[in-house]
Order: sequence, then C-alpha cells, then structure tokens
Amino acid sequence: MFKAPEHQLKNIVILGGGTAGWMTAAALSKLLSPEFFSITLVESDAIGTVGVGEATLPHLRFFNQRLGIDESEFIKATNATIKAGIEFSNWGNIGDTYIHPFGDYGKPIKNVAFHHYFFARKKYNNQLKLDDYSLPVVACKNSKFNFPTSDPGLLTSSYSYAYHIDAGLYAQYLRTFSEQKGTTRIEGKVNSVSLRKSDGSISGLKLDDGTIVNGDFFVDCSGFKGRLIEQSLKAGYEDWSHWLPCDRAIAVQSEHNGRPLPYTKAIARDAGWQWQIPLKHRMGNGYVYASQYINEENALKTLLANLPGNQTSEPNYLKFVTGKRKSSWLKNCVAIGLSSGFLEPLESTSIYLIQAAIMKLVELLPQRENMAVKSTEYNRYFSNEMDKIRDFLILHYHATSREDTPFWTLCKHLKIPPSLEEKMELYKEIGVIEDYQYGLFLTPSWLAVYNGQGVIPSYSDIRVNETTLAHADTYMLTLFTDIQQAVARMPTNEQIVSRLHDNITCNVKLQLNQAAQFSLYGRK
Amino acid sequence: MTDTVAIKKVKVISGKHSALAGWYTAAMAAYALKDTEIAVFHVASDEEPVFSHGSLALQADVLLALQNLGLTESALVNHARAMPFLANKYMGWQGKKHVAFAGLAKTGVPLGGVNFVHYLARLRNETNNLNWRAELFSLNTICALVGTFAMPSGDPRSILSSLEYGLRVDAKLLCNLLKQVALELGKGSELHADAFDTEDQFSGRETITLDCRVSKEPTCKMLLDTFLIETSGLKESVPRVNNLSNEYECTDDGYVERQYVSGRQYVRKFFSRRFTKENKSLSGPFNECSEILLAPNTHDVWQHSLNTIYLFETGVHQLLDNGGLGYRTQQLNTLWPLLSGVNSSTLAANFFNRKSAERYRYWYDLALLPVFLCDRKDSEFWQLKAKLIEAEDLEYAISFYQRTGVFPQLEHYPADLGLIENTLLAFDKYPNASDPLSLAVEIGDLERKLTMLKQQIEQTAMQLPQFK
Repeated sequence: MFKAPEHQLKNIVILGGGTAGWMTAAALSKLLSPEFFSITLVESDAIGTVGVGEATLPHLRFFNQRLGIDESEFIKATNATIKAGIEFSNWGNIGDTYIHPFGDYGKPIKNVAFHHYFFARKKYNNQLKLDDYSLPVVACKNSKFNFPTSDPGLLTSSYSYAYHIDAGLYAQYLRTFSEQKGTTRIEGKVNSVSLRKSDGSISGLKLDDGTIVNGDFFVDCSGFKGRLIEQSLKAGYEDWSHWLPCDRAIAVQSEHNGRPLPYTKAIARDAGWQWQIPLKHRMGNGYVYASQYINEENALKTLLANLPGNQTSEPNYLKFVTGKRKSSWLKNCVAIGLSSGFLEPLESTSIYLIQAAIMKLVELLPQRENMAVKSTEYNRYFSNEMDKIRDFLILHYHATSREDTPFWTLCKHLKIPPSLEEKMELYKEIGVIEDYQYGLFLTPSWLAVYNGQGVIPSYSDIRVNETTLAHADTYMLTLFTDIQQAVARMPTNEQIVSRLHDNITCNVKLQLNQAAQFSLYGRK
Repeated sequence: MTDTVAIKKVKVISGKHSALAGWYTAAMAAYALKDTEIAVFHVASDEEPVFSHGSLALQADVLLALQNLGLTESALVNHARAMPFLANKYMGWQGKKHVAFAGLAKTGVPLGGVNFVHYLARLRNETNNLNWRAELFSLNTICALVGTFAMPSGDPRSILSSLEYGLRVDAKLLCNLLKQVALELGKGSELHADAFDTEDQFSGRETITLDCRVSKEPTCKMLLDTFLIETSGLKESVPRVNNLSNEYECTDDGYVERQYVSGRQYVRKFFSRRFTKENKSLSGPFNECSEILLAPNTHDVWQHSLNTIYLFETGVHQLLDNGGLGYRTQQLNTLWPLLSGVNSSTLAANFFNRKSAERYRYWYDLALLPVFLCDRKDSEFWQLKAKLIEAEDLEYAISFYQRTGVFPQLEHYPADLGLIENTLLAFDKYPNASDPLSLAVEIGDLERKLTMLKQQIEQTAMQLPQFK
C-alpha cells in the first residue's frame, strides 16, 4: 500500500444529488483511485431536483463509455429512446420546420464547402432542399434510425446519435453506480458553510442535524441558488437575459402520443417555445417563456393545450436568469450544473455542460499548490464554452422574420453580441462559417439553423462556376440517391426502441457500445 | 454592401527576399483557382533572389499542401534533395554541456487515459532520479540519435506507428518546383517588376493583389535582428548521426541552426547587431555566405480599400525552420473562401485580419520558443533577452504546463502541441505536479513499466536500418 503525496487533496465533497451531482460522483469514483480519494455526496430528499436535460447530445455516449457503462443497460435503466436531432417549428416564420441533425450536409467539392454549391443551384431551382443531403435529417423525417457504422468511408458513418432519457432515472442509476464504487452518500440539508480564516476557502458543511462534513475540495451541484459558489463564496453572476429574454419554464409529463420519434421537438410559441421529448414510457413537455410577455396562467394554458397526450403530472414551475457564474471555480469549490449558470434547453446543452465540466475537472484535478492556476484555466475554458453556446442559442431567436408578437419583434431587433454579429454578417454576405477548435456547435449546426430559418448567403464562393457546379450536380444526385436508399434500408425508430427495451427477437440488429467520440457529428 | 465586380486576376508580388513566399503563394493560388477563369500572375523581382533559408524543415501541414499541388514526397526527394528528419537537437541552451532531443512525435504512450508525461513527472519527482528523461521514450529521438529510420506503420499496434517524420528540402529547388506548378496552373505568365510598373491592365477592382514582400511597419521589436546563412559545397561530408535531426546550438549572442539535406549542410546564425559588431562567419568550408537582416514583424493584413492583401515575409518567417510556410498555408486556406467578399463590405477583410493576428501570435511564439526557454544569463545578450522578449500566450502556456502537466486550450494554438511539449522537456521544463489519476499505478510498478518501454524503444531503434 502506498500513500498519496501530502499535497494531494483527499476528501472531495459534492453538494447536491441531482443529475449534476450524481454524474460528478460517478465520474470521480470511477476515475480516481479509492485508495487516495474519498468521495462524499450530500443531498436531501426534502429538496427536489430540477431534473434537467431529458434530451441529450451524442457526447453522453462518450461519458458513459469512459465510465464503463453498458449502453444497453443504460438505455433500459433510463427508459431512453434514440435522438438523432432536434426539430424546430415556427422559428424563422410561422409554418416553417427544420431539423438540426447530429451529422453533416454533403462533403466539400473541389475544396469548396458543399453549401456554396447547394445555394448556387437553389437560385435556379427553388425545389431543392438542403435537408435532402443529410442522412440523419431524411431518417428523422421518415421516423427511421439505425446505428451509425464506424468505417469513415461509408455514408452511414456520417452522423451520430444521442438519447432522450428520464434524467431522474439516470441520476438514480448513477447513484447506485457511484455507491458501488465507494461514494458515501449523506442525507441532510446544509445549515451552514464553514470557511477557513486563512484563505476564505470552504472547510466543511454543517448539516441540519449537526453533522459536520469536512472536505479538501467541494463540488457545488446545488442548483440555481449556488449554495456554495454564490451564497458562501460570492462568485457573482453575469446576466444574459438582455440577449435571451426567456426567464420561466413550466414542465409537465404526458402520455405518449404513439410512435416514438427519433428527435426532440422545439416549437416556437408567442412568447417562447415548447419542448416535446419522447421517452419510452411517456412524453416530457415544457414551455420556456418570457414573463414580460406572457403570465404564468396563460403560459400554462398554452402548454396544456398543446400536449401530445393526456397530462400525467403536476406542472413544475421554474424561474431562471440566463447567464453564467463569473467564476465557476473559486478557491476550493467548483460549480457544476445549474449552479454554474443557466442556458435554456433549446439545444439540449444542460447535460453536455455538466459532462464537459466534469471532464475538465478530472483533467485539471487540483493539488493544493496548483489550485489557483487550475481554477483560472478552468474558468477560461468553461466561460468560452458558455459564450459560444450562448451565441448559438441567440441565433435561433434573432434569425427570424417573425414580428407577429411583441416577443418575436423584440428578438428580431435584438442587439446581439459582437461575436455573433460578425459571424452572422459573414455568412449572410459570403456564406463563410467560422469554425473554432474549442466549442460545441460547428459548421453543420450553424448551417442547419441559418438555412432552416431562412438566412441565405448573398454570394457564393468565387470557385463556384458552371464547371465546378457540373461536378457538384453529379455528386449531389449521387448523394441524394444514396441517402434515400440508406434510409429505405433502415428500420423504423419504433422497431429500434422496441428492440432496445423489449428484447424481442427480430431482424433489427443493435450495434451498441461502439466507440463514441467527443463530437456532435460522429467525427472530430 | 456595395455592388460586386467579378474578380478576373490574382496578382502575386514578391521581392528580392521573398521569392519562395511569392512562388508558394502563386502556386497555391493557381491550384485553388484552377477551376475558375481567374488568372494568377506572379510579379517577381528582377534581382537575383536571396533566400533566407538554405533548407526548410517541413511537417505534415505544409507537406499536405505541397502534395495537393502535385509535389509528392518522391518529387521532393528527386527534385529538391528532400530527406527526412525526426527531431530537433538542442545544444548548450541550459549550460555548456546541455544536449537534448525533441522528437516530432508525441513522447511515450498514454496509460489509462492519462498523458505519459504525468507518469514520467511522477517518477522523476518521487524517485529524485532526473535520468528519467522524455527523450528516452520516443522512437523519434532514439532513431535520430543512432541514425536509423523506417517509414512509420499505419497499424496502431505497431511501435513504428509512434514514429513521425518531416522532410527537409532545399529551399531554392523547392522554389523552382513551385514556379513550375504556378506557371502550369496559373493561366498567366510570369511578369517582372519593371514590366508590371508600366502595366495598367492589373489595376482596378477586377484584380486582387497578394503582396508577399517584407513588411515595412514593425509592430514589435525582434530581439534578434540579423542572421548569416552559409551553405556547404555539395560534396562536403556531413556528420552521419546528425542526419536525422536539425541542430540548434546556443551561442553567447544568439544561436546557430544547422540543417542537412542530401549532400549539403546549411547553417544559419542568428544574432543581434547590438551586441555583435564585428563581421562574423562560421567555421568550415562553405561555398556561400551572406548576411541578412531580419525583417520587421507584423501579421498579414488585408487592406480593403486597395484590394490588396499583404502576406508579409517577416522576421518570424525567416526564423521558423519551415520558412513560415505553415502560417502561409493557414492564411491562404482561409483566404480563398473570403475572396468573394473582396469588392463588397469590409467584413471579409476584418475577419481575415483578426484571424491573421491570432495565428501570427502562435507562429511568433513557436519561432522564439528556444530563445524564450533559455535560462542563460551569462552574456549581455541573454541578460537582455529576458527583458525584451514578449510572448504572453507562450508564457501562460508554459507556466501552466509546468505547474500542472497540461496545456491550456488556446484557440489559436494547434490542438496537438506535441513538439512544443517535447521542446519544453528537452529544456528540462518538466511538470512539477502530475495528474492525480496517475496515482493509480504503484511507483515500483511504474518504474518497471517505463523501463520496459524504454528498452523496447531502444531495441526497435537499433534494429531499424541505418539511414542512408
């Protein structure tokens, strides 16, 4: 038996047992040697959890694999269904619908991005649809799905997938997982937080029953209030509600409406938007709205009037301020989940942000002497993630032609962040989308939303001409046909879901537990 | 947005000191625009070009771009005296006896998802044995040391898959090849400066100018301001064991770079005229020797009102062992999609200028990396260096690395910082702390594992054929 160095932090305390708390506990208890680290999670059954993120992103597969979780077991435990994208309705204009897929649109032709050729051709043929050049979009529209293949040369490797899950069940699953790996769970409510006089860092939590929980390092997963990061350490909050004016949400569950769709729905309403998430056994529903433009009563009426099935739970009311904590990591405390900031679940980023934060924490797990430098880098990283996602979310509201309600008029004429303004103008003028190295949403995602909401470039790349278009025509025709044929061969999503949950014997093959990438599109 | 005018011509301008930059740019433009009606012209200087590099050390980024131009590895071997290199060798930077190698490939292999350097740092720290050095765990460095070479394997299970090589090429010969490519693809003829001055066919909004001459307006001072370049005769003997590495030797007033291409040795000595007044020349039988001033430094700039994009040949390009072609490749690849914005608003230009500035910071940092890392303070030059050198991002990255063993994610730095990491380790800048995940392996077990890995690498290197 050998000892950890003295400078090593040993006792890690997690406050809060929702999705963020148990994901953190699971990752730390799996990845850190129990000989040197003790993981303690403090939660109270008396405090409800928000249960964020029923809709997830493909990165969750990567997270689960890192933890060694069997995909089939996970799917069954969380009543999961498959998600290959998000359908947005009424965003650019009332009646519009598009899908933001977890995959690409075509490939570059003669070193020029595919969409330049597409828009050049569309000028003369308005029937052309960008959607027809994305395998996951066509599959979603046909309620089809199959697991992507791994050979990068095949069209069927050009997409990824995520899940719709019951986040409460996921937290329960991870609780069992974490406790088996040695995490100690303490039931209790925090009464007070002790700070060290020497440096103001947290030394321990005093619970209502008098129990003291001491720790070297604390993870605040206490939700919006930020019991440690804000109430004790006063990290401060950067308010983004002037860019993203929705500040309330109502969530209810309903019966299933029939066949499970392989995508989440985000339907724009008069003062916000409604989500519909098809789980195996029920639908998750919610209305995210701006209280400045609709009151709670009318928001609830709107939501209930548009449920896909009978309501099966009482409404859960949430208030939030969109923004980020000025420092997610301060002294010996890192905030993960809602305590680190809030971005509405329009692009299902909540669980992604939890997982990204956990992975970065694992990468930068501090020792006593490098706590400050690691926190600086962590905050820089996390802030960058949040800023880039923020811009992408604002795009959905701002790139609209709608002025039919005060809410949409506000969104259309919003003064957007300069970073987004430059990005949008560049695309509108010459169709260029700046990719970045570190950030979640890359060219395919921006293209999906631009195109879906009617933002079209004025000019194509100068290399698009009749000669290169002739090559593009051939490629586009082939791609169109290949996608149609590939989708025709796919099982229905209903068959996949049945096969995943019911162990029925049929011809549908499940290619589970394939190596996942930390990517939205199935490729780096 | 204003009305647009179709671009009909791309005019590349180079000067006496930027022939390679000019022909590379012209060839890349000709290739990128080959399926268009746009003609590419190169207006070169009438004067005999002066090359700031005898040879260039090219890695995957540039080699891939050359391959697109039709300049395959075998073309470079046959027509530009290309030969592979595996590592950089540093001498005298951390004291007179300091000799260390930095390989091109990442050192060691990750264990349990944790970067190898954390285990190495842990072993060094816990055993107080500083003989555990990174270069012992790199097939690149050991092969460079013993002079053996084989092509890397594509099979990830093979130890040979851990080998990475670059190619050194003769700069003048590469320039000739690029000229051929540009003239074949460019649809335009080569023009000379005199001819251009009287031509008015190129003016106007139908023409884009890519000006590759040296910058005139310095935006930051260079510590080093001068260099000598010397070339050995074709049949001079070249020390065998140095064939596979480029040498960087620290001197009292700067440093000397030595590169080898087939049958020739190129030496460049960088120094500051502020401290070195006398005429310098290097020892040894060299056929050619010339002194060149380092150009002022500035990033590329798109001047929208003039339809001119300045792809400057600067001091950083002169310092970099790849001749700045890595930066130029990035810049040109960014430029082509933006060209449709040439005659519209300033958006494309502003975007280009922002990207240029961000990227330039990385290449500037890379060019000055060994100078920045050098701890010497035993001469006037090295004493002043600490005060003059400005590299905010590099300073942050190195400081963070030393304290954590992790590189910060900087958007304008490449994701793979393997060569930078190897250079830090060659300068004894090991992390002070290791990833707590590395504690999963018991120290004795770790020592055994690393010993086995070291032996495996040594044996493999010894069994490979000698490079000829």
